[in-house]
Amino acid sequence: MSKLIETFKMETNFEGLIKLLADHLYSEPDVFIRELIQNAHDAIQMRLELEPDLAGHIDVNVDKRKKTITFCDNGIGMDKKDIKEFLSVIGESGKSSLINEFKTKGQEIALKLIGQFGIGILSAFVVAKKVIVRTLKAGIDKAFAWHNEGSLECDLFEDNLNHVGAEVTIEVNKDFEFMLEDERIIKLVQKYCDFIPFVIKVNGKGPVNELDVPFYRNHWNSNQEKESKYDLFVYRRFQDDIPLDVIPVEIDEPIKARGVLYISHRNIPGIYTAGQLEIFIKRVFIKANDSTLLPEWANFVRGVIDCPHLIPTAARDNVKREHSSFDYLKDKLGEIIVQRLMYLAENQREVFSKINFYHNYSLKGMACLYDDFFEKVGGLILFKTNKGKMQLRDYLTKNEPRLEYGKKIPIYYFSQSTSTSQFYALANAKNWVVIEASQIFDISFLKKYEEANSAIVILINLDTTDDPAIFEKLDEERTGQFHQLEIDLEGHLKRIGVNNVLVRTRDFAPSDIPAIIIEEKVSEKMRKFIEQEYIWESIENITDEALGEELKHPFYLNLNASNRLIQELAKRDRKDELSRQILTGIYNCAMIYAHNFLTRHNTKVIHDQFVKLFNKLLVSQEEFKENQRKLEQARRELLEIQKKDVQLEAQRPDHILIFMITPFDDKYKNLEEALRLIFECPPYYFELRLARDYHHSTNLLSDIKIHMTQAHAFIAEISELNANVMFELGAVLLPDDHRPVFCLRSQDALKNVPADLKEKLYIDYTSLSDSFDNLAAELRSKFERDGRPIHKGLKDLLSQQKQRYLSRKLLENLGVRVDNKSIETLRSNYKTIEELLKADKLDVIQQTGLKDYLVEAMIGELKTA
Amino acid sequence: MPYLLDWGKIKLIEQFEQLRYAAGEYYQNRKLQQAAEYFEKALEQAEKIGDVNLIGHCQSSLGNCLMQLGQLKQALAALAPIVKKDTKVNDPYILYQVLIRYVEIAQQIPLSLDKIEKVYNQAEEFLKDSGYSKWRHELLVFRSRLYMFRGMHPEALQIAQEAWISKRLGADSHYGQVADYHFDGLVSTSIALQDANMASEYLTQWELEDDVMPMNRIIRFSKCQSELAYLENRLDDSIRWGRQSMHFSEQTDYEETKIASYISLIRAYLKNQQIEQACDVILRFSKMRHSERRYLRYNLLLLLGDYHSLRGQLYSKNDQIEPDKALSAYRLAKKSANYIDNKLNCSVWNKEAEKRIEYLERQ
Repeated sequence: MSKLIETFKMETNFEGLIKLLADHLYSEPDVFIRELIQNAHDAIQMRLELEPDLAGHIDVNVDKRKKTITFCDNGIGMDKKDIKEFLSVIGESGKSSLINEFKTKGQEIALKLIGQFGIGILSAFVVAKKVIVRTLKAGIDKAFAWHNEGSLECDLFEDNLNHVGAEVTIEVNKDFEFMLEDERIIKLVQKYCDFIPFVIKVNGKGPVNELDVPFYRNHWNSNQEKESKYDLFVYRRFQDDIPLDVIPVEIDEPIKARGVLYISHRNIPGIYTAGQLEIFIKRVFIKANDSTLLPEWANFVRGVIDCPHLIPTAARDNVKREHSSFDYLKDKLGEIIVQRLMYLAENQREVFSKINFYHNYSLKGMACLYDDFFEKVGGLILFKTNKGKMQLRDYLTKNEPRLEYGKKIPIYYFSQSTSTSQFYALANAKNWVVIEASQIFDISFLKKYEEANSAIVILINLDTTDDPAIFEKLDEERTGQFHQLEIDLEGHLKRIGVNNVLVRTRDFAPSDIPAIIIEEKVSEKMRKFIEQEYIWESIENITDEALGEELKHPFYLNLNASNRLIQELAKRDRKDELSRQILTGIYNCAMIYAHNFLTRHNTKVIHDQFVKLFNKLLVSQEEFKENQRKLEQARRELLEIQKKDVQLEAQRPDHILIFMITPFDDKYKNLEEALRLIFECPPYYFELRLARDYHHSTNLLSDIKIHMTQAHAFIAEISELNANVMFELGAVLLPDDHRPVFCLRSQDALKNVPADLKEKLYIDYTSLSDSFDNLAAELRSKFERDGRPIHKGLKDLLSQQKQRYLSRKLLENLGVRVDNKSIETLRSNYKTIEELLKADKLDVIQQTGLKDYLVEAMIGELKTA
Repeated sequence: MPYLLDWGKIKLIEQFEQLRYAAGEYYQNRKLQQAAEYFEKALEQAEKIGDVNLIGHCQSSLGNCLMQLGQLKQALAALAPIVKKDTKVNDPYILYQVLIRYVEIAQQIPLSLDKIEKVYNQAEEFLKDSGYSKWRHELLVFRSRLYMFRGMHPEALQIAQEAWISKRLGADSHYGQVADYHFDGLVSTSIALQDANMASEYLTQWELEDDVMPMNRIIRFSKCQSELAYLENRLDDSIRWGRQSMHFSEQTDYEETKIASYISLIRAYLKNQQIEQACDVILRFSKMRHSERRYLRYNLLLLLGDYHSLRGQLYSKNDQIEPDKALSAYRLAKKSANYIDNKLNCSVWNKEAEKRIEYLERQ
């Protein structure tokens, strides 16, 4: 041990010490207001012990002229001994020993007295050049005045104060004259002493303090009254905030605390932002915006707490945290908040939902960070789903367990809010409930929930899903049907600059969605792999290149095989412009449906396609109009033609008339007769007319025109390419009115058929010089086979089912012989067989002069023809 | 102090051995999906045992299975932990196998030539440094394949022969199944050189070779027979062998042999103008994983083009639809071919597609 040289006392510059304490102990110069009002409060409390009916009051008076602030109370006052004990000994308030005395006696006042350090009066010297305390103690008739100018020396005078209590006057020094304002003092009184239970007036105005603080009340007439008082208090005290819910704090054992918490409507900027409280001890303000007394997860909570068991620091602007009462209070507040949240979730869903809306981020974030909070409220927190907002515990009752996952209950989710329409549509079609887990912490929270309930719950991410429960794979045959479409679409997309899309076809509901975009799954293994470090550079190179593609995140375009548009597209040839536009459109629609995939390039592609489509639409509309116009014109023309046809038809006889165009030459006689034999007899009964047979007009051309108009068909003999014949044939062919034209040409004709007629089929026969019988047989064989007409023109004529022409040839070839004269008579009276059959037999007999049996036989034969 | 048996660890090792045995059995029968599953389970056990080489063995085997299943990137992921910077695996065979797999995967995708060369050289150096040059024959097979891919057929044959001799002279009998890879390479290279006699000789030798993996051998052998018959224009034989190869390969899930069988059979059908049958096999082919491997995509597209072209010739001469489809397939094939040529620094693959496109456009 070292040798002692000297022992001496430390010297104190007492004035300097006062100045030092005053200047540095208190962070704000205005705390003297708190200290002096608190002294007044304690004095009144002590007097109340003697006179319980006393109406305590504190008056603060500001005198600008004298530059003084006076604190006047009707408390117990001080005698000479008290003055010496309380005011003249620094660090000894005398009250702390009193409090201990009260405590040991179990008196409630112990909790009511505030002062304990005996340095409150010091605070006055921060702003004062002189402090005067005038006081008269209850039960004593001598008043005193204590004067101190901030030095060791203080003077005590006798005084004439005429009321019990104390009057502390501060002569404000020059630097703090700005404080001599009523409004400033009122604000300071409210800041520090708002909850003091005695009337405080400032220059006679008041009370300026909050006398009706709900959490100090012990009795309520009804819950409603309590709630409304608490609400009112919070609304008044926190005017810049809107409480979503107000939570009274009433803790009695083992420590006492009173106060009120509320859930703020304010957005909480981060999960590491704590909830904030105003701390009071024994009704005196200690600290605003304390972020340590609430549990870390309760960052959405604000409020006021008064706990007499908290230990203030000497400056009384904070509390000591290393204290069991602090920890206990913190846990207890957490418990109160959780219980309230649980109560709201059960009984006031609307309020709970609102809290979730405002503090979704905080609630989930806090649950992820703090296991205790997660355990208690995890199942209650709301998630957005396709069936509205839902708590997880309710959610678990909505989906069917999945057999393939060991009958676990699935929690389906997707991570991008921009894909909501797409996934909601898929989920609705399957009657699933799906969670939109797009907000921060949603997925972490769900993963934590799955982990905590791994025996019953399985988390299924739909972002990358190819779950056959949604996307059913096609069988081999149907795969083949869509395979080419997949290739074409992929190729088409590449051509328009979309390189990272893989197309596949699945069956999925709803069938009105043609395609859906799904991300490609990058497995966890792959993610880890990407972050590996390798021992060989060569392997690192390989890895980088191999996974270069992987990092681009390709995605799948799932075509819907149940969708009609896709089915139609798969069937059609997709080379035309419209198909290409539709292919782009399908991709664009899917992109818009899941628009989180929209990149700058995609939006350009979609934009360009829209512009193209609009242009095309306009052009199409113009084309449509033009086509409509043409159609209308064509329709009119058709009507015109039809009208003409009807008119012409009206001019045509009731039987089929074939107009034969042939040169006027005897060498055609055999041909004419042969044709008459064919067409004027069964099965046709047509009239074969030559221009010379009948004259409608004296003008040759008009005559021919009328013949042509009346004819149902034409036969033209073109062997010699006779000018008249060709002229008439041209006139017949040009209108192209579907009347059959049979061109005949002899094989011995020398002249070639003109090029324009080559396309028309013509019927050849051996020679004009051939015998009538041969010609008839040969021509018949050209028109008929086995007695049935083979020529389409003939079939068309027969299908018109006209009346049968009563020709000379027919009558001459009847089994009944009828003389020429009678034939002429019959033909002049009856154009067709049907007319003759309808006629009165007697008339026929009379007209022809034929015997009645002959007429009978002729009609009989014609009937059976 | 008496020696204490760690019964817990012995139990774990027993379980591990059972799992590894099961995985090996599946692997032998080319049921690779199941083999991979069992290797994964064995890997979990090995991790519990804490033996780095057992872990490495399982990871390597798993990577091999995944690669053979055509899941190249997953295979890389499985192999990655073995070659991490802080790896403790010290079994040279495992490390060598990983290097070989990297070479193989890089070739199959394919990646850039310089990168393939680099990892190949790394493997060569590894063999030199470790003294295990008896394993070099396996590496040479891949070198030969690389030459084939680059259109350097004579060089490919030379290396394939060197590999085979090297295997014969020095390889452990344990790795005997590798003979099939050698013969497959030798026959395919001979066929690429259009040397039917040489191919035929190797096939005879192969037939006499005793092997432990008959299934794999039948598939590869039949495929090579089909290719030889095709070369010699014996189309019926080519189809018969091709069908046999396909039939057996579909009993396994080894992608590479399955696809090789499909390709040879489709070619034979198309040459024999059996459109419907060709279509059936093309569909089977198109269902395989070809997104990761350009060669497969190229082959599929080329065959698809051939198919449509033939359909056009046979059924719709006046119609432009089929030739157009063929043209579009050839163009896509050419794109893949350009990619491969570009990566391998050669000009081999695009020629076939180009030739066909020119022909169709002339028509």
